[in-house]
Amino acid sequence: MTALLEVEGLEVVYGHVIRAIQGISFSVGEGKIVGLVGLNGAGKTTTVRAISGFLPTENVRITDGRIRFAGQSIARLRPYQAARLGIAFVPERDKVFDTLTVRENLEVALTATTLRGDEPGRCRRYRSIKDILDLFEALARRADQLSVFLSGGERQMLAIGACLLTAPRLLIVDEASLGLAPIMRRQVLDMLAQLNREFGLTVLIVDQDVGGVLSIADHGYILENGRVVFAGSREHLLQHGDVKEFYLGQKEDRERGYRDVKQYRRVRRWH
Amino acid sequence: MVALVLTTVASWGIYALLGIGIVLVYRTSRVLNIASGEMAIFIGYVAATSIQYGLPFPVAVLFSMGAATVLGFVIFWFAIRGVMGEPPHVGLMITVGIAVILNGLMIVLFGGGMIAIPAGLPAFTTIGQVQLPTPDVVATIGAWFSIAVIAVIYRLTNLGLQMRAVAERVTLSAQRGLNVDRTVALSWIVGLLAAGLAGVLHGERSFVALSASAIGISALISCLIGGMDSLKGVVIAALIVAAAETLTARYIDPRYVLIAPVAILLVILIVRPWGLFGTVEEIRRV
Ligand SMILES: Nc1ncnc2c1ncn2[C@@H]1O[C@H](COP(=O)(O)OP(=O)(O)OP(=O)(O)O)[C@@H](O)[C@H]1O
Ligand SMILES: [Mg+2]
Repeated sequence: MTALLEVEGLEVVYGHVIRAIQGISFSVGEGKIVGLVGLNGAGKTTTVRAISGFLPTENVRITDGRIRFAGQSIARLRPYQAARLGIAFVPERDKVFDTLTVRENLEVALTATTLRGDEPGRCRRYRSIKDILDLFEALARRADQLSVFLSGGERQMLAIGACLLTAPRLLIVDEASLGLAPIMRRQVLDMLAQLNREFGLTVLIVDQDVGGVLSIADHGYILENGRVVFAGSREHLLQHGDVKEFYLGQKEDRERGYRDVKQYRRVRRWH
Repeated sequence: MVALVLTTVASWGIYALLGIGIVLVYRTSRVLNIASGEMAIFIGYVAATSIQYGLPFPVAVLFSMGAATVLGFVIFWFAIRGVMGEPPHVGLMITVGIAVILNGLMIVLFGGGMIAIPAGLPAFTTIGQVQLPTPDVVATIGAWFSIAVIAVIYRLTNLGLQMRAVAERVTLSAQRGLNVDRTVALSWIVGLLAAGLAGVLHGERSFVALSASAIGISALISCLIGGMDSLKGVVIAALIVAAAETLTARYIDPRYVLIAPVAILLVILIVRPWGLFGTVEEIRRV
């Protein structure tokens, strides 16, 4: 069985010069949660933005590689076309419309995409604004307020809620826990895990918090400098000594100096 | 006195309508439309010429609105689509070019002379005790009715909601599944309908002529005074401009009509550079 999302040899260039992504390959199986993790500037955002589609006005191009969603090539699609195929995207920043109310934010998502697509695997549990307001009590209390007054956690809920209204088949969340208090972070992750469990929603989650993501993900990919440096199942990554040391902050028995780390990074980068 | 008030209200409505068109397309596409006066008068010429060819006034208006729809789409498709996302001065220069082209077309197609757009109604309307000039009554009703329709579309319909979404964040709108090009195209069509109607109503109460494109300047000044932020701002600012013009024409000298609003604009730009109702943030984003 082929995966729902397959990325092969992806290469993305900003402004004709900066090769932010240098041949990334990974796949997301239907009904799975997959984590894309890595440090600042690793290329996580660029990768998922490429999947959700760049605007023609943006100064960034996919220069090589393939992106297939449900067997269809989507590397050239505009963002709205990808959204209509069922790829819902929660961006890292600018994830809600500040000048619209909470209700209007949800309405935009509801009216922009049609729920016509009858592909299997689309999560149709949430069909109306009321469904979302029932799901997130915090939003229900602020339904008619402008979104500019929402807290970081409420924005994340609103953005995810809006995505759920588009009958997503794949939910991509960039920086799921950025700027959230540890308890909120846990709540967001648990909610994604629950959506996955109950409705079979496929989730691609991007985060710097490797431990958090691996607590819910089936598979993980660790990016560095536009390349995948580690890949594997949750168990594999959690057991891996280097991952433990460099990404989970757990020390091995043997102490390693700064020089070792630098050398290690260099090897990893050019492997 | 009542007639003077009515004249002001009619000009107010026409400037507000034209200004709303400018604000609408600015908000969705970040293009400041310098050519709104030329667009208005071009559509006015279409109506005037169709009346000369024997169409009754209402049919001529409908026909000219059809022309406005086509023109709005053509302008978006060939001129605006390519410059969205470019710095603001690029779009502005494009509309300067459109103004020049429309000016040329008005001379070539319509001769560029003074033509009236007669509504075919009696010269005066009597309401109770007062006699009012019918052209001003028609212009007032037409303009304010259209403003109400556009306000309802903008605030209460899905299309209006999508326009407001695109106005704030283009990328997010697209990621949520909105066909941004389509929304912006529709906003240009609505903008051209507003401008065209303003041109027709202006022609109905006086005449269309190349020089009548100056109503675009009054509308633009209204927009700048009101801030490009809200439809409400431009409507209120249009009253200031219309009143200043009417009073100048009446009590000082009709030749100075355009100086009054420019003077007000200068004062406002010095005191509140983001306009009376605009937000500071808006100017920075531009
Ligand atoms: N708009 C842009 N123009 C030019 N270069 C960019 C742009 N956006 C990102 N880059 C570069 O691309 C690389 C990858 O950036 P990206 O935002 O994808 O990283 P990230 O993994 O999401 O980082 P973070 O964890 O900080 O969000 C970085 O080196 C960055 O400098
Ligand atoms: Mg990022």
